[in-house]
Amino acid sequence: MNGLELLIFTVGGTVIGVDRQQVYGIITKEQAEEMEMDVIPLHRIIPFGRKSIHYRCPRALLLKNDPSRALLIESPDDIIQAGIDSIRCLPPALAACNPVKAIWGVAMTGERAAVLVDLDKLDITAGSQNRHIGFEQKISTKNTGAIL
Amino acid sequence: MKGKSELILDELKRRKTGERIVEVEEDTVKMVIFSLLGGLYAFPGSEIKEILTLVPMYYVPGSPDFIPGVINVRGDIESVIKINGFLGLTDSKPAPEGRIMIAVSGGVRSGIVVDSVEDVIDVPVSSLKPPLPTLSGAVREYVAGELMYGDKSVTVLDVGKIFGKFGDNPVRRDDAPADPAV
Repeated sequence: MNGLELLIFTVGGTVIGVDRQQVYGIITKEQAEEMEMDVIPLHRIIPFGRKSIHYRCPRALLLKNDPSRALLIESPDDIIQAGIDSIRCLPPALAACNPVKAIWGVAMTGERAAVLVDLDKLDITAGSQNRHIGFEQKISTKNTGAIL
Repeated sequence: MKGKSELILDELKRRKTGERIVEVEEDTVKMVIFSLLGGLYAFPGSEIKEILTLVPMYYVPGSPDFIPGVINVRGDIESVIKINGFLGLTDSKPAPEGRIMIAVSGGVRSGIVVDSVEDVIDVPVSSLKPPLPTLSGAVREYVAGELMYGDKSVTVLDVGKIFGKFGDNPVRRDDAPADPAV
């Protein structure tokens, strides 16, 4: 394991990195809604404290491990290769009191630090209100936008 | 013949020579004194590894309010905590002269943000007094004692007890905005 290919996006001023291998694709929020997908804003699953979160250019992140739901995020900034040397574990103090177990580390990307989120460990059901059929079935007949 | 004054001075000189000079090498402890919202506090110097100027802090979602984020210290990631809440103080934004003290206790290492670092001093162990009985219950838990710095009272804090609370502060899901603007 030499590192990860990270999809980088920003929510509420926090730079977030997710493993691109866990992402099926990215479509617009409207496309996801047209497909009657359950689109869950990221901040409904991961609390951002007292910050008020707005998505100026919302995108729906399609998850490989959960075809029925999409995660609403800000439009991605970048895809980067993060070597294992640039990835750090969460400091013990933070790991002990952060209940979001999907947050597993920090990647140093130049001057910035990206908080790493394991999409497979994200408790999406916590922010979900509905359950619909899988996106793979819908995507076959829809304009899917950017598929990674 | 010596006058009275000379006799008195001789006697004083004799007494002084006869006094045994006892020097007591008293144990001292290093203290890092800092300010927070106008109050003076201290941590034992043995638990403070480094003092940094304020550097960019990166918020980690899901963190409780007392962890404003993490910082990059020469390539390593350190958490940063605010101890205002532990001391019954209101929340505050870091002052321009603010500092981050990297503390280690009980195997836990974290930065602690303070308004300013006032001094690093060696104080005799005997000058450390027990916590004031007037301290409120919540704060008292984290106070190791009191010391005088000039004419000001300084509250000595127990880093270990503060760090020991880390696992007790999970963020509740209802801390997240209920119906966020999208």
